[in-house]
Amino acid sequence: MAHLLLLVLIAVSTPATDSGPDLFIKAGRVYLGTGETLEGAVIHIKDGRIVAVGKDVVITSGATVYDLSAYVVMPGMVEGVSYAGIPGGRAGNEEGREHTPSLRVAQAFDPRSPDLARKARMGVTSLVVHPGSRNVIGGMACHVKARLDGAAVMVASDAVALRITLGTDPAAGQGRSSRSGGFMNRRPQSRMATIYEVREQLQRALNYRERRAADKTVPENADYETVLLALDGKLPVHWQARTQKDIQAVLRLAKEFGLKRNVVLEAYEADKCTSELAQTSTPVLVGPLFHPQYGGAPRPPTNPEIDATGDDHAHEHEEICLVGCTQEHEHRDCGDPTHVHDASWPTCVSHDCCIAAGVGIAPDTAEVHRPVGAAWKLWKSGVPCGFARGGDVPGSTLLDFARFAVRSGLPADHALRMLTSEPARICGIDDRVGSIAKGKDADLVVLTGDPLLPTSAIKMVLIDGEVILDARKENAK
Amino acid sequence: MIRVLALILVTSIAGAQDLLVKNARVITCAGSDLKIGCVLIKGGKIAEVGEKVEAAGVPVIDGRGKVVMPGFVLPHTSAGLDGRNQNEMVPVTPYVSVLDAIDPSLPFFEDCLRDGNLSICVMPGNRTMIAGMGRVVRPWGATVESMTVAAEPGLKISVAPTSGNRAAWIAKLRAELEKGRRALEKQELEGKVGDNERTGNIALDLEAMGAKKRQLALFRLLKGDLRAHVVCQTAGDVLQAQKLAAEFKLKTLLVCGPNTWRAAKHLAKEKIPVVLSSTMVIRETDTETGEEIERIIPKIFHDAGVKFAITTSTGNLGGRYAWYQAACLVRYGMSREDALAAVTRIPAELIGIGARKGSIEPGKDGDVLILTDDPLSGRAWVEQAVIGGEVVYERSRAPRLAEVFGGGK
Repeated sequence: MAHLLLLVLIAVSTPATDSGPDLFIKAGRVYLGTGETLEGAVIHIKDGRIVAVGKDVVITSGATVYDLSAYVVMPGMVEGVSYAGIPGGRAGNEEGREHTPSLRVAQAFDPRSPDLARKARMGVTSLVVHPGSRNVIGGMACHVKARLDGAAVMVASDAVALRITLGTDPAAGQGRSSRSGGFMNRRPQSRMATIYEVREQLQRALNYRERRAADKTVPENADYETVLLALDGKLPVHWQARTQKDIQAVLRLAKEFGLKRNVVLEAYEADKCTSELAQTSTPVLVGPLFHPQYGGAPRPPTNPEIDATGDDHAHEHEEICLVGCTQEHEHRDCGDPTHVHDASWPTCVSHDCCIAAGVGIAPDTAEVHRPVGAAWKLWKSGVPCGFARGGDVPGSTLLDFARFAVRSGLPADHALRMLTSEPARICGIDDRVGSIAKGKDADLVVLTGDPLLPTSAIKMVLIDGEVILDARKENAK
Repeated sequence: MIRVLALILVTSIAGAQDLLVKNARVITCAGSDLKIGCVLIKGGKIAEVGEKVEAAGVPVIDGRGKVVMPGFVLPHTSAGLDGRNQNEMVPVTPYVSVLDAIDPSLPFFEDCLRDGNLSICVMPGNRTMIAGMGRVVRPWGATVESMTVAAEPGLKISVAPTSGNRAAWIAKLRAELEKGRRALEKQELEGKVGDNERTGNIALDLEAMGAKKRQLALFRLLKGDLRAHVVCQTAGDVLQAQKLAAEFKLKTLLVCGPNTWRAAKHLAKEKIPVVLSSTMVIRETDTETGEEIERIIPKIFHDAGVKFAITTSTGNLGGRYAWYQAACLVRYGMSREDALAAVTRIPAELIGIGARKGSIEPGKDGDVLILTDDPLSGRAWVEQAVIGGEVVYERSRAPRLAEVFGGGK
């Protein structure tokens, strides 16, 4: 309380000017996010932005100063793909149509979602939140700050990229058995049809432009207008393409339609097409790195009983996402009602008790680590890449991805860039976030030591110059 | 016959049990580390640990720039069993044993070698009330018998209901133990058992008295000859487990899920050590404010003063490594020594193999890891795994690993 009063007093006693108070951070070490490191530097913050950073920044008297000389400061991490803050996780899908390009997921964003506070505690300050994967063209992704004070402030941009999903996610759960033309009989129902749907939409948008140029009475169509923005290179396209064949399909479609700004998401098999990706300079957002169902030999269906019911949950096993299934059901087996899983997928690998309850299969190290190794291979081949889709338990966070990638050979400075400036650049939000530099948002993470050491703890998080988390007093290491 | 002889010959050569690791940093997990030191293993046992140790005719590993530490000990897992067959669906099956279910060909054991888990307490799953016998194994060997470190570490019991009502679950468990006690008393009255001094081996006595095999493990539990590894999922379960243990005079080891954290102070007061599951963090919602509260489980137990071992899980990128779990403990405020003990010495003690495993000390088994870096650096790889003085794993000879990992140094 006394602290609060003091703060109020300071605020009152500061001469009223157009701009806010100055904040200075004395840091033991600063990782700028661009690969550069400064020992013992000062960061000057004003109005939520970084004014200056360096060893010779002069601290003005009377300003607020955080002495963090015992700590290490890095830019807030940027998660290039996330489903945080969307009610129901990836279930944020509009299933009425296969294509909803003009929808903005920002409109569904829940600023009160606990996801955001979790992300902030894990050092992620910027997220690119995507629509779900059930639509072929799902809509527009948004850039969100994890600052927990209302959508108006949190959503930094509501049109970061157009989201297109290849593979079998949009086909999963389609009613194969229902009558043609029936409610559940949505297209597509296969990998090739998914790609066809994309091609058709892109072509239709081009046709619409021609028609409209010739005939002014053709009404404006928001969906086609959005697709045209992407076709004209004004809106990047973020493609979910997990397998080698889907990644190659992205490159094929891009060439066919002259799409210049493409980003590949969740590319688990990116390591199999590094040369194509490097040649076309197509960036990749790597993650989730822990994808137990991925990697080794495809596993057989694990529960014949359920598969035999022939219901709509027949997913393709190599691609099923355990962490973000589209439907939530109570888990039948482990007995803990908080462990919610897709009932169609009896394999739970997220919780010990489910594994012990016999509903999980243990993936082996080689399978688990395939994407970890991929980060290194992509870096070595010169493919621009960033980490994305961190989990929210210790051991699977975005920062942990970087730690494990370093263990597998990725150079440390590049791992730090893949958490900060690289994903920011790939997502086109690097004018505001991703590095500690003059004019950038003051989004900072303060740690007890080298961020890539698993023993280092996050002790402070600042977003737009405001302290979101301060755990320095807890357990001073 | 000749082939058999040849095989025996080959194994006796390959299975040399003497080894000297020189010039490495030695983390003993027994109090005194050496910046540069040597570990001598003779006849499968650690013979000497010191700054300079010489031994003629013993194979030498030059550990320059490397770190030597004891193999990790997993105090509780069901991962060595086929994923879908870890639980009996009948609630009371004291007569089954993981001996019949451990699958030596599972990739899990290969992983254990790569990850340095050299002693693994495999237990039946958590769903069954009295779930059967566990076994401590090493991840090396073609048969369960040759893998065995300790044949009967304990009987698995779950006080956490996995079906029906909590009270009914406990009532049934109590009734089963009571039934066992009565049967045991009846047998004793009939003079079939009781003269323990005769052989000094309760198992033999029970067999001599003709006890049904089905009841044997339960009898041994009630006689205090076996430990019960009791799974608790809530703080209430912890109290129930304690009550049952007192009532039936059971020796117990509590295996605590994350939601038992409210019992931490109680466990500290009662000086009960526990095995903690791999889950580091749970989140609860404050019903008043709707705010999410993060509970860091090992920190709560550590701050309360509970002695604990922590296990790993196959369901998480970091959580599957004992070294990562230990690094998390340091992150949450524990000392290096305490954190490493929680994955080596303490689990070994708790599962009853403390005299043989869990630290590098003369007289203990020669189970050591040679790591490329400090275990808490996050960058360490197991370069060599040594079990009983025998090098059973070498990273340089694991091509599959190289293919997957690419750049790992």
